[in-house]
Amino acid sequence: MKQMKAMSKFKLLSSLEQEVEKHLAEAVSVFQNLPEETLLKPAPDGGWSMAQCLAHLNSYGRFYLPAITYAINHPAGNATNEKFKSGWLGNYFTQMMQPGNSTKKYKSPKDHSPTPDLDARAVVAEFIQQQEQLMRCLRKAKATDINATRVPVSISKWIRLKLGDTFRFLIAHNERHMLQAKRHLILCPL
Amino acid sequence: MPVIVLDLPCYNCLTIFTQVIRMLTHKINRTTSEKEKMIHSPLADFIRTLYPLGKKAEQYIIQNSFHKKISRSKYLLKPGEFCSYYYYIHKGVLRAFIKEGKKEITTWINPENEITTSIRSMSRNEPSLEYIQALENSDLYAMSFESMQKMYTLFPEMNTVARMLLEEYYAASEERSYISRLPSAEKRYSHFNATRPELVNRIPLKYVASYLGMSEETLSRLRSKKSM
Repeated sequence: MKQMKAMSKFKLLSSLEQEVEKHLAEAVSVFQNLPEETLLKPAPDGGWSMAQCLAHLNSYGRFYLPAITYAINHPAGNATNEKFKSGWLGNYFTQMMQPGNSTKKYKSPKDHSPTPDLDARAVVAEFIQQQEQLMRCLRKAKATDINATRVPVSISKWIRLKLGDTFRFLIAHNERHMLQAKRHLILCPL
Repeated sequence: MPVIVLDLPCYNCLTIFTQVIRMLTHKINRTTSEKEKMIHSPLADFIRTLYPLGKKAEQYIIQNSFHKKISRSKYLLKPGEFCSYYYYIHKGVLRAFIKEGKKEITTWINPENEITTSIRSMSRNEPSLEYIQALENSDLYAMSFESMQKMYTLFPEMNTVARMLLEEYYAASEERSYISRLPSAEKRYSHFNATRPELVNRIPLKYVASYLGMSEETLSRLRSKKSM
């Protein structure tokens, strides 16, 4: 596994901001304008519909966004620390999500597996809302020590990742399922 | 061997020489690019699309306006603040809204090639009632009211430009008051869809809903009805 060197906090946060900007733009220009039937159509291989992909991401956002906000409001370390070094576990989780590194399927935990009968429009609206919130968190994090401040993971409150790793992991996970949703879009006749 | 010894200093000379040349050309390039930046103003270009603009007036605009970047969801103005600038939107989208309790009521949405400000601050010298917020990472060019006032005296043709803009924005304001008086959500949406359909590809629908005075649910119901 590629081990990460220490890097500039600002560089990391602004590249993550660009990634979120891209997800927002895609959600606004593509997903919010699709008919509900298209959004709800199961993938040709029987996999998730586009709405399910986004609902899956929303279910994580519902946990992580408040957790990140709490962490930013209760920071540790030194706000002037400009360096960030990924922790081994945070790096492992992020690598796991990278679409380029593995196309391996992971089974989602039950409470993050959305049912097919969704209110597709509401799902897209929530996704957009969450990305806007994530963007605000990234900006606030510039004045936070993202190396020392930690956020618990969704599966156990005893495991806490560095704030910088939580952002990396969450946004890589978003990218993974945005790609999945976009793959369906190519296959779906509009 | 001796050839190499002789050769070395020559080679060094050449390297130094090329480096000097490079530094000089670099400096020249830089100054020309800086000059180019100076002689070009998107605000002046915009005004030129409305009315012929003299060289001196253009110079004045270049010297008295500045570039301002504003990132997505950041505020350009908040209620209670005075706005002392006109902003030309070169790239991006801005919206204005007022807060009614917890609810946001969007009062206008403007994409690029528009001029915006808090008109209350300008004409009545009263603080803004609205928030002005960027909905995309936006590039603005700002000019102060003061500079604008001076420009009217210095370049009388600018009065024509101002009148044209005023007519344009008065019509837009009438349009907004018309849309807000349409009795049904369906009519408001279809009017919006007929006049500004491109916006739904650029801004989250919740802002469109709040501009049209309806809930997000109603808007999405109307949109799916339309697409069927």
